[in-house]
Amino acid sequence: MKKLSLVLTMVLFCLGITIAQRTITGTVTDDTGESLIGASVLLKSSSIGTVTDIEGSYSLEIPDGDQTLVFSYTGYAAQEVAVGASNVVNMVLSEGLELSEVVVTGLGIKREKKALGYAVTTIGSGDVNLKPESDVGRILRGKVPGVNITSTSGLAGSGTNIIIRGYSSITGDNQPLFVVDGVPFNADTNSDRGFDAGGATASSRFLDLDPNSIAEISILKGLSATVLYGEAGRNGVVLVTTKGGSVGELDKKMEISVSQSIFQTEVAGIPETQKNYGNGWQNDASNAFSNWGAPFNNTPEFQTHINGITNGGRYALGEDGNITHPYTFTNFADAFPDIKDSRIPWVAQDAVAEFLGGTGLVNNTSLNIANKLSEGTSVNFSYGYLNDEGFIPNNNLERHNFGTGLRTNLSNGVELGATFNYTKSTRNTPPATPIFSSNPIDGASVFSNVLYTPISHDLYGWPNTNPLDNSSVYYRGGNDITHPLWTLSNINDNEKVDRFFGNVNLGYQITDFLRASYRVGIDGYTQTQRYTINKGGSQVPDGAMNTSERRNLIIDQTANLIYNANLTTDWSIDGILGVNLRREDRDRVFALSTEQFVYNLFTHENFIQHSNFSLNRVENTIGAYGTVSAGFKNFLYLNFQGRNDWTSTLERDTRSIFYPSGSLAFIPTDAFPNITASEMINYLKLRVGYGTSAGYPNPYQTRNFLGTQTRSFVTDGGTVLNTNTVDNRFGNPDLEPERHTELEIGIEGKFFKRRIGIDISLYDKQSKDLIIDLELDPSTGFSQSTINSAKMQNRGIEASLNIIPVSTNNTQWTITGNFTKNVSEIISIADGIDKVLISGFNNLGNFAIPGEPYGIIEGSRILRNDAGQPIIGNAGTYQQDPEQGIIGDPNPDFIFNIINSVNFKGLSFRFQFDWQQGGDIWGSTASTLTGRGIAGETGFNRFVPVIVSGVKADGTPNDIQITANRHYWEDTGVFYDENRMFDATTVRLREVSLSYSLPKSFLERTPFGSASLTLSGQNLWYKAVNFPDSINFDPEVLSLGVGNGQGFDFVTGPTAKRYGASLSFTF
Amino acid sequence: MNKLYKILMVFAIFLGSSCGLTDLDHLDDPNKVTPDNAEISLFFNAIQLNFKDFFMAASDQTMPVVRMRAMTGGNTYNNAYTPVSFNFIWNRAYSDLLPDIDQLISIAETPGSEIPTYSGAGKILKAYTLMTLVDLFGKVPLTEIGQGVSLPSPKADDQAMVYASALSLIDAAIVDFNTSSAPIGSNDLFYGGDASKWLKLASTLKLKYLVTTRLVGGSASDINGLIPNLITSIEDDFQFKFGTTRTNVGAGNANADSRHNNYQRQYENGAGRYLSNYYMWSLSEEKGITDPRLRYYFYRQDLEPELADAFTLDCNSIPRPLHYNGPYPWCTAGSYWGRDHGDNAGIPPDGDRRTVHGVYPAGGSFDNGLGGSVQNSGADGGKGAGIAPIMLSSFTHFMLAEAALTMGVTGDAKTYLEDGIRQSIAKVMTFGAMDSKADASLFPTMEDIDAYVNLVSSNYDGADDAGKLDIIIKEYHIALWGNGIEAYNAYRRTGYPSGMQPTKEPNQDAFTRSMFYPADYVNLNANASQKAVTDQVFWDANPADFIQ
Repeated sequence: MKKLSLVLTMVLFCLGITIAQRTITGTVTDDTGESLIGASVLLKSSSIGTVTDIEGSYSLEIPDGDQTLVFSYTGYAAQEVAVGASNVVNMVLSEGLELSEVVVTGLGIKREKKALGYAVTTIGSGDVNLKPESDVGRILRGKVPGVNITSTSGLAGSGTNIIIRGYSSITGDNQPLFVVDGVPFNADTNSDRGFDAGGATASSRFLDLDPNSIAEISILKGLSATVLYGEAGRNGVVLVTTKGGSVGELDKKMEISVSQSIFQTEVAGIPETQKNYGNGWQNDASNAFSNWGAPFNNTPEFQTHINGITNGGRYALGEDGNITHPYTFTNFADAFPDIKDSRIPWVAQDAVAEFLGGTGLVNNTSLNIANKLSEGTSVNFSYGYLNDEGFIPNNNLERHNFGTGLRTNLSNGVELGATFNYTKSTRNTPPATPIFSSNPIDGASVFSNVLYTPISHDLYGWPNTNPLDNSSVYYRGGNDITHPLWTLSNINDNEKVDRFFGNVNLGYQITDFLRASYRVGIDGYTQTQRYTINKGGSQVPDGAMNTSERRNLIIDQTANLIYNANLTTDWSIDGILGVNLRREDRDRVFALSTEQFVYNLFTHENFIQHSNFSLNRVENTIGAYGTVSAGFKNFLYLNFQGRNDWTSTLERDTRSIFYPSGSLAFIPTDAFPNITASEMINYLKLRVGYGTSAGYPNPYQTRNFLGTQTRSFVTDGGTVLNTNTVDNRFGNPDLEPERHTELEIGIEGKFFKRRIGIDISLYDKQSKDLIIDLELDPSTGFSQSTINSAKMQNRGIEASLNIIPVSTNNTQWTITGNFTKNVSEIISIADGIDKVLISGFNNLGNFAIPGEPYGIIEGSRILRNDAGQPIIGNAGTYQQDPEQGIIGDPNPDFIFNIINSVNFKGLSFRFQFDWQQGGDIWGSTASTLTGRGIAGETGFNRFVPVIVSGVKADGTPNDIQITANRHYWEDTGVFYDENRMFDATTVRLREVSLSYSLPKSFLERTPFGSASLTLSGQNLWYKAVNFPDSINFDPEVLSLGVGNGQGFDFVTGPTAKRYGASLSFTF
Repeated sequence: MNKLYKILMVFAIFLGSSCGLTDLDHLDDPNKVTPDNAEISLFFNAIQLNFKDFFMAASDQTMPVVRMRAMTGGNTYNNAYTPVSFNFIWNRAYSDLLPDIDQLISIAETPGSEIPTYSGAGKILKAYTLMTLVDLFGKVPLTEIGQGVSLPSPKADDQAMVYASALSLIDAAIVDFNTSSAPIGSNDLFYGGDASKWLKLASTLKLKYLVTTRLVGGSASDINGLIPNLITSIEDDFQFKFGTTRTNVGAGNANADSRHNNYQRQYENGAGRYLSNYYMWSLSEEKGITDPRLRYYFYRQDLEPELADAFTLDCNSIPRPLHYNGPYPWCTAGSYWGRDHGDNAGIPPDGDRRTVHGVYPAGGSFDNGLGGSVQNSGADGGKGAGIAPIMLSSFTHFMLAEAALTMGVTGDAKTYLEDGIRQSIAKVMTFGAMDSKADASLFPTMEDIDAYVNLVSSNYDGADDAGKLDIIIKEYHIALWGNGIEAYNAYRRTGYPSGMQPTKEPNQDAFTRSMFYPADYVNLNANASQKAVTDQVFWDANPADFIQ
């Protein structure tokens, strides 16, 4: 009864009270009468504001009373106007002294950029919509200084790794928080399998966002910017505002926009192969995995070779230039009676180029309808359809996005807004399990066996399937390599996602200085994965079917009290007090079936062995926060923020943590306006910010549990044994949150009549008590625990330089340069621990080592003497150093992007070059193609012996001759990790676009408000300068998958390039 | 004021309806069981299975150096193994077996509800584990182990002390088994709960202890005291019996495949490991007569390796190296296709052609001499129902033979030797029935066995004391098929069998007198540092270079 009365109270409250409120509309133009798009209109000393639309119009609701509106626009002098009796306020701004830009900051609050003491980068819809990439993460590549974005592979729908200002957690999550329309958005990369079993190319869940439905993205990089998001924001925040979520800013009565894009996807680079030698070993034709075989019959070496041959092996290469068909096995005789003992020409084929040379089509349609129903009430509806095909068969992503946004002012003065989004997607991909140098590590891969196709083999001409039992057939004795085409048609990884996300928000202006708001947001998805393997391959011979269902749900509520006041004419103060409740539920059910019964039927019951497991996790966070922002005149801004979080993942004593932040912005050009008199300096801002954050462990790390397993063993007599064990994970009850602090200083300026602009930030982020999943020496009785101890730092520069070489009435050329440099250092790990594996394998992976940068790569090295010379063994080849050691640093020295944009009348031309300097990558593609004699560089005369440079055990120079085959295979190829490292310096044409908008005059007699055609391309050209030329390798891959690993290429799929055209119209 | 009140009411509703969202007590993992649900019999299950894994891995890692399977990881002793290859053994011992055994013992010794048979079995398995750790690595941690993050770097203890604590565990186990209590019954995979057999095992492990340490003070009279109560018949053999359950091959499932490891490796679709040419030659050619166990031990997929092409078997066309001018096999052991010692060349496509494990002890196929691939998805031979031969009656006899010859222990060394051989052959022959396709006409006859034993005996009679010991250890070596641990210990203790095939690379470095410490130990423990493989364990009082 009590509860009912409360509800009634609320209902009465909502319906019964009207608050005096008025709507001001108008247009903002410049001196020449051109409308200013995106000009900011703010109610002075409040957070109420809007920006003008494409027509320069705005509409803003303000409380009754004496109010002042502040109009501002980048590069124009801001103006203040007291609102009089009229509800229409038009404004003419002149290009002038003051610069003001409104950006979205923490909790979605819009603030003047000049008042911020930290760096925020805002990306408008024009930089996100109609791009060839379907993944919002990849679209942002190179556009935001301080942010490093890497695709895991070029497969359609593969995941994307986003790192803002370096990795700061050693074994925890370093991916940024996504916030969509004010609500945390799960951006996990989920896979049923680890990277070693093919999980590296799993999709990242921001793939569920339709880039065409995005109105704006703000990226909060430093801790002083993200503190209000609590620990979840410690890795930076990507704030996405959808068109549905920004519906309140609509002014025009109705606008329908439609766009249609068609792009083509191709592999970015195909390795060039040598054409002189075929399948074999030591210059003899044989069914080796490698291409160190006999010379082809069109080469000068052929005749000499044939004359010297004593044993042609099973291939029986003859003087006629033919070999016995490699499928001549006893066990293929029944399947291929015509092939057995047949003779075929010994010639070079071009299978790899043919396989990778395929194309896929990307078809993307989007529709957006925005309608203003009445003053204060607008709706937005959007629909997007994407069908994205990869460059190899059976790889595609199909996605439907529905979105609705609604905003209205209830008659009682409560502002109500809501967005609802539904995404449905399906993805198919062939398997891409990592490869060291031959078959996949665990499971299956289409790329390994394609890339190492012997030059002499007719991949498409020879059968790949045994007609008798549908099993894979290929050339090796024992049939121990799966035919890549068999893999393609028999192994599939399918993923389906249904996702709903949206929010309802209420706002209420209590008094002219106090406003209350409440928002509840929901983000829930169901992701099902289905990995199917037919029986008959060589890696998983009996077939398997692996299915899973994940249900993730975030419920996030925030309630804010927003205040603002002008204390004196010089001092203003505003801020927020709020609480935030967030619950994240994850449920997962997993079923694994093996030993397929009937070929090509994928139901669990068609398999003989089954096992299942389930998992659920709940994580609750309560946060309470407050901010105070004080402004002195218009040139000094001081901001304090603090948040206290309580988490459910830690024990009672350690679950609460407070993190404060503060920032200061000072604008000398406003404080001392005469600096700007010469037009040398138009605008200058100095800022300093200090922020702190925390990091929580995953749930359930603080307590020990009993290890249990069912069906651990079945005895010969059929008794099933179940087991209990002391679990190998040591639950650590003393676990605490990890702590991060960051100091950031920055300078922003406009010079030389605003032709040159800079925005530079320097940061120093110190992280301590880092939570690490520590492997323990098993003699401690446990093999793993989670502890607080490690310490590390990230220091970096992010700089943006903006130059406008040409700016006339109808031509504008802008050059933007973005520079990112981050230097990390592990300071300490834990007592007695000199390294921790971050990602990869214990003997080859990314490690945290005190004194070294994050993720340094260790692997096997060749044995050297004290002078560093290789010690050559009796066999004439290198020897392995028994100790593994550091072999490379995957962190780039810097990343530099140049974006040129030229606008001439309706034409707009834009291109972006990316340059990554340094950063090492362990490259299986390059080293194996070289070691196996496939790479173009290995077509030299192989009959000449080689002496490896180095010294023998006695210190004398090596003089032992070995064959080229042996040298390349062992010494340059795949034996020592040290020899498989490459510098990943790459120059790349990331993006080119040319678009043409039909002039308004032309459209006047048509129903169209605007129409444009855009031609665009992504990743059209690149050059990894320090890789062997023939490999054509693009190092922008992450074979360890999304996470903390970097600098590894395990042949999990080359990158793609995309190009095509988009048409867009508005009605 | 009224307005403020109403706003507060709204917040009250919001907070009140959010109870599920404000509950922070989510600390026990809902996917796991808390430790108070522990069940002693389920602990014992885990211990037995992990013990089997420990034994199999330790055996597997020691077999290559003593030429029982081919050493292919490197071409010298120094590079044939990496520290990483010992992680599994270390993990099984220290993070699985020892904590579980300690937990088992603590539950079994709970005052008022003691189950001494469980604690006794736990102590014996723990003793075996500790002794084996010392045999492999020398100094290992004991006194500071098992304390999680509160003691993250346990110090290694004195080897003799660890060995001695194993001995006292065995003595404590004997006390336990002599206490009447409820038997552990069918839960006991080794002995079905028969305390008398556990007692024999305890005595035999003491024999093993005393023979192993004989160079540093093993006592003959102590051994004499054990003789009445040893494992002397194959019914009392301490072995782990594998099953035939085949699960999830190649699909990475956590649930265990219950078949013998070497069956899993070689009878599915993979080639598994190369067997050792030298070891196969020891049975097939060395004595001039065929060892009765030959067709049980090894299965030839290809009967004519000499016809293989140069790519598949390159040594066919390479002359025997000069340093192989001894009584050694080269390239293959006749029709037995394995690898020479320390041949680390790349792997040609010979998976369906090289010789694989036979029916003993892997539960594979009996070699009917017909050839043919066994890579038939686990359909062949005994389907993997082999054994882990941890401590067999034949081993007892060989140890006693050595003890009688070198320490003056009661009994005739030659009789022990002959009994050892006969028990080994008898044991192996029981596996013939496991392969339904085995050609019974190829099973050894009594005459075959007698001929073999007589040959060994007459060789024995004609040898001096050193030669006699060489013969005892050689026969022990052959009987040990499937147990690398005892063979590795015997080789380091006695230097026999003499004249085993040297590594393929000449100018060999010194023999592996103990294994590298595991990478996990060296890298994760602040008090650990890597050692040399030439370091000798405490009971190996032989000269530095006496074996190769």
